[in-house]
Amino acid sequence: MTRVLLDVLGTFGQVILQACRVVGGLTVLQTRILLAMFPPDFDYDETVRQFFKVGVKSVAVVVATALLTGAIMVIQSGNSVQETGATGLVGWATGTAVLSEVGPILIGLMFSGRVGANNTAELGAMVVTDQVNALRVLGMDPVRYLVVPRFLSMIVMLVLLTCIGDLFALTGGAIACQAILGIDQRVFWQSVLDSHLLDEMTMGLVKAFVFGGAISVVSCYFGLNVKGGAEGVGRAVNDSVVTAAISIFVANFLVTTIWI
Amino acid sequence: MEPVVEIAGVSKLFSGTPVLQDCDLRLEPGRVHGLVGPGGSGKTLILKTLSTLLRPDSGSVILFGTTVDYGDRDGLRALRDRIGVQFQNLALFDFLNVFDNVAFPLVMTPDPPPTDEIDQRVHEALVEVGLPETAHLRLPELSGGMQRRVALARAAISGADLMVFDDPTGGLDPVFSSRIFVLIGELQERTGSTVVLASHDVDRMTRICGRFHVMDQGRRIYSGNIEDGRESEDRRIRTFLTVEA
Ligand SMILES: Nc1ncnc2c1ncn2[C@@H]1O[C@H](COP(=O)(O)OP(=O)(O)O)[C@@H](O)[C@H]1O
Ligand SMILES: [Mg+2]
Repeated sequence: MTRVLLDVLGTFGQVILQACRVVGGLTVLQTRILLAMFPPDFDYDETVRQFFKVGVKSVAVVVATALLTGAIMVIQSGNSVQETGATGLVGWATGTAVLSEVGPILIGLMFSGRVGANNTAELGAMVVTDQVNALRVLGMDPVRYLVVPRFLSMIVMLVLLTCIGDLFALTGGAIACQAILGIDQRVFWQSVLDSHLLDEMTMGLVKAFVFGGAISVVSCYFGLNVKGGAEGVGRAVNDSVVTAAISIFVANFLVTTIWI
Repeated sequence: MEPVVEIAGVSKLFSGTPVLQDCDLRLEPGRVHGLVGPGGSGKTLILKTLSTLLRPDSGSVILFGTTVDYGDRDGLRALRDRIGVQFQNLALFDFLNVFDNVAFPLVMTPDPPPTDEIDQRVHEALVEVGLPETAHLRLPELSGGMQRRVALARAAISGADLMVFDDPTGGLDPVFSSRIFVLIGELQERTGSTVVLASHDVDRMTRICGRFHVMDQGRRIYSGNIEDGRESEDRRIRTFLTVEA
């Protein structure tokens, strides 16, 4: 009995230790990124390459996520709206939820699953095949050459994608309004405009900024710290996606709390 | 003469398993050193150690008379500027084409040479390894053997003081293997650099390696010329220095 208890405690301790190691590693990496950015000293070609890659990879999945999210929010609020006849509130309800909470989180999670996971796998493969060592022996700092370009492009792209996502989420809401609830979509758009959602939208974009930073630091950290061959890369991708999701929820909580 | 590489008492554990054990190695300047030993004996790891890429748990690494200080970024960079490495698993940048891979060490220096000079030198390097028409190709368009030759060209292009070749002929056909060894020998003569190469091809190595170092189970167990080694008391040394597959 006590053995079982000790085992449980031991495992618990290990998890905590591991978590501390990861948080420590992430902090160090974040510091090195900032040191490389001020004054700017990183690779511009690689940054441009990353911008395109990140954008191309994620536009489709973000648009799809956003359209459906907007539609679902409308359908969810549909019942109460129809019962009370407060059709004018449908845009407000959807807009508030989508722009400030659901949109950034879902888009962030999709982005993490697509771009972040891919990034961890790519950097992991570069570690395993000694490409990172080849950079180091050529006098290049992997943080300046590989991480900073990814950090910048992921932040900028996630903010842009969230703007696009906002638009598509509202469009999805409008379509669902008309097609499923039978409320004229002009009522929906008018309600969105009347609700003055600028503050919600700004908060959503601030979140996207923070999530983009978190996803890039987490995915680069796990990629660069791959241990042992190809299986190591698989494990790293897994850890990276889970850790990124946790950081998204924590960051979301923090931003919302500070904002309100 | 002062050695270019002086490794003393280096040990390294990988998740509890010792992979280098109290290993030392001395490389005198201006010749081709051959590193042999069975697979898994630590050849790659000792080559990474002397390229400053693997930080040992204990022991010291002295390069060009300077003790490697892994916390000193500028010092490390100055040392690395004098080292060229061809990695066993090639480590070519898969986001760049052949030309950009070979040109990388020239382009990425603090003050790179003019573009025509880079073009010229990359072209020459590719001709030397028998790949004159490949500059514009992407890596996946090349066979494994061709990629190995690109890696060789990249390692040699900056004419570093210390050049490291880890299994430069792995997977190459016999004719090409001979050619690569000749190339490495010529490269050493032309530049006067110190070259160290790990390989299983003892037969071809004898043509260019003036000195052999034998690794076994994370230790260096022999350094000297091939003839003495082949008459060593130690059966392992005799075996590793006689013909291998
Ligand atoms: N990244 C690593 N993680 C764990 N063990 C490793 C790693 N790299 C090498 N090893 C182990 O270290 C030993 C020496 O490897 P290596 O230097 O590659 O041998 P060689 O080049 O002589 O074939 C081997 O037993 C190998 O399994
Ligand atoms: Mg090896």
